[in-house]
Amino acid sequence: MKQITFTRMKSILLALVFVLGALFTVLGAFANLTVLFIASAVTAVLWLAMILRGKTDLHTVFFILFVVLILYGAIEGIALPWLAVLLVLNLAAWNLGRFEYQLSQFDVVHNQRQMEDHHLKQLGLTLAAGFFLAILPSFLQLELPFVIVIAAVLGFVFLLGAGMSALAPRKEKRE
Amino acid sequence: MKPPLFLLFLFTLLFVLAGMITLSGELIALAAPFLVMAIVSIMTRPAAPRLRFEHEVSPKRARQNEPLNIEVRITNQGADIPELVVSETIFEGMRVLKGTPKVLAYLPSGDSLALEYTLQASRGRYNQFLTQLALTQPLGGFEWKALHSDAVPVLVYPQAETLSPIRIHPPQTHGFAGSIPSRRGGSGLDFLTIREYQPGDSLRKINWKVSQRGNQTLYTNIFEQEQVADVGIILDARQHVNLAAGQDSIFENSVSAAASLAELFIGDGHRVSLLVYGSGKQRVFPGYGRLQQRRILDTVSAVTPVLNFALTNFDNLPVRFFAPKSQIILISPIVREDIPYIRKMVMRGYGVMLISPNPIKFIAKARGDNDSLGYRFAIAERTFMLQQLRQIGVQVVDWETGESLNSTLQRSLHTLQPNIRRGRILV
Repeated sequence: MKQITFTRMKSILLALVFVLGALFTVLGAFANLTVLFIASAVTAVLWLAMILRGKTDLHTVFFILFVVLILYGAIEGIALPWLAVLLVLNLAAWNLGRFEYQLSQFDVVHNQRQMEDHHLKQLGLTLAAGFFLAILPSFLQLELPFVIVIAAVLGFVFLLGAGMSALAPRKEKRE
Repeated sequence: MKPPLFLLFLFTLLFVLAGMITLSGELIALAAPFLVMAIVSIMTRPAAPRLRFEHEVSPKRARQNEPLNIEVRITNQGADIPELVVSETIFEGMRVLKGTPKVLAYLPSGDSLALEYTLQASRGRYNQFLTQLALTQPLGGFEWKALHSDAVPVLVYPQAETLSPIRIHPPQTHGFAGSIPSRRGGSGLDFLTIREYQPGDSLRKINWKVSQRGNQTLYTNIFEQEQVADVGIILDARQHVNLAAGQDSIFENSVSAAASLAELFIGDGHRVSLLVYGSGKQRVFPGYGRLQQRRILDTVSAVTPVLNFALTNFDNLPVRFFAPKSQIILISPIVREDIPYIRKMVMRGYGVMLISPNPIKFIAKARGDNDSLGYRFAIAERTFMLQQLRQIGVQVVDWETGESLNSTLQRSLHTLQPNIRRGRILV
């Protein structure tokens, strides 16, 4: 039987996925959402099993599954702070999963501890900012005309699209 | 932009649109973590680093399958690099024995990274080492990639076999002492003849037995002087005669033979030159000693069989490149069309020895076919062809490439026709 080694990153990742799955399951149970309860439990168990098994890179698949579940939970009326916590946990697990996979591809990692610390610091700060920005609207009450909201949202969507197309890699024209 | 960033943008858009459709502010708010992560990813996208590379390879010249120690030192002369992937390109024919040629590193400003590994390489000239660099970022949105090349030429010599001394019959030798019997009297070891004593002859060389018989005349033993000769090695690099089967090829065997023979003849003190005929006409002019051996090995380490329509037969063989009446060692699988050109060499007064890797047995061994009618016909045709060459005075060594060249040479040269003499062409 293959021996499982627990590196620092793997331990953090396992903890994140466990908390994410447990929180989701509990929220599903409390909100009487059987689909959410079962789906989140199964997804979390599968994800944990995959992490324990080692070098596979299916983190993105589980990340997308959890995003879909968060979307479902939001539609079913789970409170915003809980959803934001779930989303941040999901993003962190996805990112660390890919990072752990990258580390596992190398026999030699130079200054591994500093690299992990830097990675965790940057990820933590970014997700903290994202979390506070997500729950900020629950502390604010604004009354805006519908037209302005629609215009703002459409403008944002347009800006996002333009940004994405600007960042997409361009094919060089052949002369 | 890498897929993770695209996914972040996609989910931002998805949550915003879902919020608009369901008129749910919560869904729009949930797009924030995605958006923040995407923006931070864009803001911290990796830029070109300032790195200094040092490649150390030892030894710079090695035998095939001899370990090559590579040390790469990378110094960061710019800002901190959070995630740097360094990967050395392992060329075809190379194999990593020890260490790892790739590393992931966190490289602060001014810090250095050392990458050490041991390679085993097949014969060839490796002019540069390529290092693939990739800078990734913690949020995974972007990657900066580059290829760095360091010109560190490394030569991997072919495997050479240590050969026992072999008998060659150059029509002419040089004045310096060597290992070829010159048919001239001098300070040799082998007895040549006797002559009348002349004042100045060493008393130790007087043949007392013969002197006793005669009319009170003293006779002196004359020994055969051994001298050095001019040896020209022709390596046949024509593609159409050099067959290959999988990793093995006749040409590789020929190259090893050329290296082994060059080492043997230079070791014996001969003046050796080399001509590689096929891809072009690569040549090493005649010379003596270790430096010449290195020149020859440098040349044969980089040769490959190439199809050159101008050099499909020996018509353009620059025989004049070799000293007149010297010994030519032709290493070639040989085809029927080559016989007239070899005959021409013999008629010009060169002593020719043909070392011919057997292409029929080589292919038969690779295919596991050594009993078919076709095989037997091919062997018969080749035997006839080699017999023709023997009849014109060529020393022929039919070499089955699976066997050691040394044992083949010893066996073949032992059974060579004893009546072949310098300059005599027996037709």
